[in-house]
Amino acid sequence: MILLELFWSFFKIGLLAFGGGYGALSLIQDQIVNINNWMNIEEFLTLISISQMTPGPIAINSATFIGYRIAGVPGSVCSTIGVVLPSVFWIFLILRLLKLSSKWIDTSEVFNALRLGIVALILSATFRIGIESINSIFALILGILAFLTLYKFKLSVIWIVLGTGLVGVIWTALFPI
Amino acid sequence: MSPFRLFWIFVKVSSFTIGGGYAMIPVIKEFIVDKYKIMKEDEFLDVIVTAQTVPGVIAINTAMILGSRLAGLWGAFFAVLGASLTPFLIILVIATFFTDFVDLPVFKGFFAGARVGVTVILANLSFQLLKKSLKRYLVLMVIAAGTVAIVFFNISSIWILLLCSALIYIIDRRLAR
Repeated sequence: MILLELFWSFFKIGLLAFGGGYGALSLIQDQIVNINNWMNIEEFLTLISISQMTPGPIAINSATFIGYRIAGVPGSVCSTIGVVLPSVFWIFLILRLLKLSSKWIDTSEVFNALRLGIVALILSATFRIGIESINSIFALILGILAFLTLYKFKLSVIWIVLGTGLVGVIWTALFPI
Repeated sequence: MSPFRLFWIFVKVSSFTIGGGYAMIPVIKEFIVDKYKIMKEDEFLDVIVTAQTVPGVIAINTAMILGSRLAGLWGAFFAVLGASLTPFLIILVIATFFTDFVDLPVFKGFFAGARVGVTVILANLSFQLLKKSLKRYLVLMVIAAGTVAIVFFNISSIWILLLCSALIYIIDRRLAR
């Protein structure tokens, strides 16, 4: 039954994917292209670029997309629920573990260190997206201006994302590629 | 906090998260910490850290922990629903009507610009988080090394998170003595 297979494939992806969307991509490719032959690699790559260009977590976007391609709306529902569900298990487990361990050790000190350790992850995401997106002098100037605007006027980060997107639209309209 | 308010916050967050789970962190922080002052920055970071230590879609993990902390079981349910609903619907519309939209100059332009915006808000968040530690050179070096290891050597972010935090923990201990 295809719906169950979809659910199960994406359940496994959610259960094993460490480190967010980019970590999940190779697992998704494995399940979709290599194991189940639901798509060829070209279709898969198109789908990934769509998932990256639309709002929302990449894993959810691609689950919805692949599910729809293979079995319509029911398919998209099954694969999306499949990829979300393992989080329930993992979060329940980690919250329990934290509660238990706080009896034995002082977790606040551990968290003090983790709060700084996480900056390495956020910085690496900044660099990864930055290396790809800031690829011209125009993008660099846009980035610097956006940063100064954010810093000076304390604008909402949502406006920064929408504003830079709009500038991108106007720019491509003025100077077609 | 009412589960429905959480639902709305996560609808907004997932609607403006372009390019993966990390882009979401500054947006959630703005709502939860800066705007509505529901949590302190440290508490919020604890949630982000916890969400990264287990597999699964990071956005969903974060929504679950925040939801359950702020409004119990229903809070977790509605936060997760809010985080996955918009992406689900957007992808469904795209998959049904226009898969070719990726090639439209308007979308290309918007995406290229918005990614610059995402880089900026992530860089800004990194600065905010490092502000208190700017004079702790050893800690900064550990974070820089971790970032380089992820970006240039493709080492899985979970190991870097654990390794960096362990080193920072040891540094803190040494200095406390």
